[in-house]
Amino acid sequence: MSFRRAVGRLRGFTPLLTAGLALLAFSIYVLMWSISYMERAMVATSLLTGLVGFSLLSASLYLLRLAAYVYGVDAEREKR
Amino acid sequence: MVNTKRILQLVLHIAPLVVFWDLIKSVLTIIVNLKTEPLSLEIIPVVAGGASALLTALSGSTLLYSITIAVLMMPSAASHTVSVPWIGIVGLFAMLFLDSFTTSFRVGRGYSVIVRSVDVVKTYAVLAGLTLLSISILYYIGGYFANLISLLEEAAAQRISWMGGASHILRIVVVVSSVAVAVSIVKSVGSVVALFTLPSRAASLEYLKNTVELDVVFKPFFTRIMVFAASLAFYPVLLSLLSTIALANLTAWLAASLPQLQLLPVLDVLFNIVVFLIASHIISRVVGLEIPFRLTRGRFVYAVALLLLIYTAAVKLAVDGGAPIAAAITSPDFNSLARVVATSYTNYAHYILNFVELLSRFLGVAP
Repeated sequence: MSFRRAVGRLRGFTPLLTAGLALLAFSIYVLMWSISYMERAMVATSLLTGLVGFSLLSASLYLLRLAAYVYGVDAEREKR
Repeated sequence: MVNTKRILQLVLHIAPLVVFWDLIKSVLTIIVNLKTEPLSLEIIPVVAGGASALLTALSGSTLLYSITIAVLMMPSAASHTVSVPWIGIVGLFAMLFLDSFTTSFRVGRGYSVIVRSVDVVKTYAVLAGLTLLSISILYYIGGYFANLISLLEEAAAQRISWMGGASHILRIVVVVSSVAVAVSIVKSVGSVVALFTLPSRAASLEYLKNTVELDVVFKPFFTRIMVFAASLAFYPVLLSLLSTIALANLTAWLAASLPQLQLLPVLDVLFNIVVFLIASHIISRVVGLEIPFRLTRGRFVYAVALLLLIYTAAVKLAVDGGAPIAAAITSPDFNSLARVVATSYTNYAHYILNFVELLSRFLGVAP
């Protein structure tokens, strides 16, 4: 039965949270890329990379918010 | 009997005076020395901050208080460093507390609220954690942009020589946009943390069922700045089209009919501004940066109007070139129209370069 419980937990907010955190880490990585491009005086590439990084950051924050809402639905059900 | 509520409201007005006393004092010294010392551009943030601090003290508003803190942080952020006014932020919490307390406080109607001490500790811990988190997010994003802009200036010094003069304006643009980005990120991080600490089934279901809020339309950051840049690139074309059709004749006629008023430069600036506003409106309506792209009726009408405008300008040029009207309508002169547009671009580039040079001289960057 532990397998089924694990699957049930996986259906909840965990995949969303994992995806959100992974995207957050990746966006920070891309933003650091942007800085390193600017160090090599590649201005347009750096600005474009920065734009990509901030878009990824906002996507990750949206995923984290979705995860929080799903967690909210689950958490209060367990309390009852 | 002492009216406690009045005293608390008085504190709300006195607290900003105490916190921002240095700022107000420096503004007062500037006003006193106004006759002996010449004005420089460096005092603009000080004067703005002082005026905002005085307005805060007069109104006792928490919004104006936070605007004053933002103005205080502005010059330090523009010179590559981010300094956090800690006393001002602590004072902001006191102001917020007093504000909500005085609005709900009623004299002579005492009542008690029973709260478990664990909950009180939890609330304070969450509040302190959230504050630290948001300040550190602001700090890191400010540092990121400061780093980026100093590297950009180094790169500009190597490659693009004229950008050195524009660095003051560039810094202000970067500071404003970084504040906007940081505020939006802090807002969504705050909502995530609040949802994880205080989960609510009803609110979550309400949100998850609501497809209008759930299905976000992808909107890249800096959309407004992009629209601004695109309309800067688009408006010389529109201006040359309009001046080909009617505007040039109109200005010439107006200037000739009232020669004593020297109207020509004023009209020129006025038409430039109006055409720029129209261009930014068209860009924000027609182009749009959202995905998926939808063809609305407004977009269709604007696109057809633009095509008609190009066609009319080409016909007008053909008529001016000496062709009869029937021949002009069937074969408009697109070649000379392209030449007019290209000339407008080169004129525009000259104008922008002159403007940047003038501005940098005005700000004391270039000799």
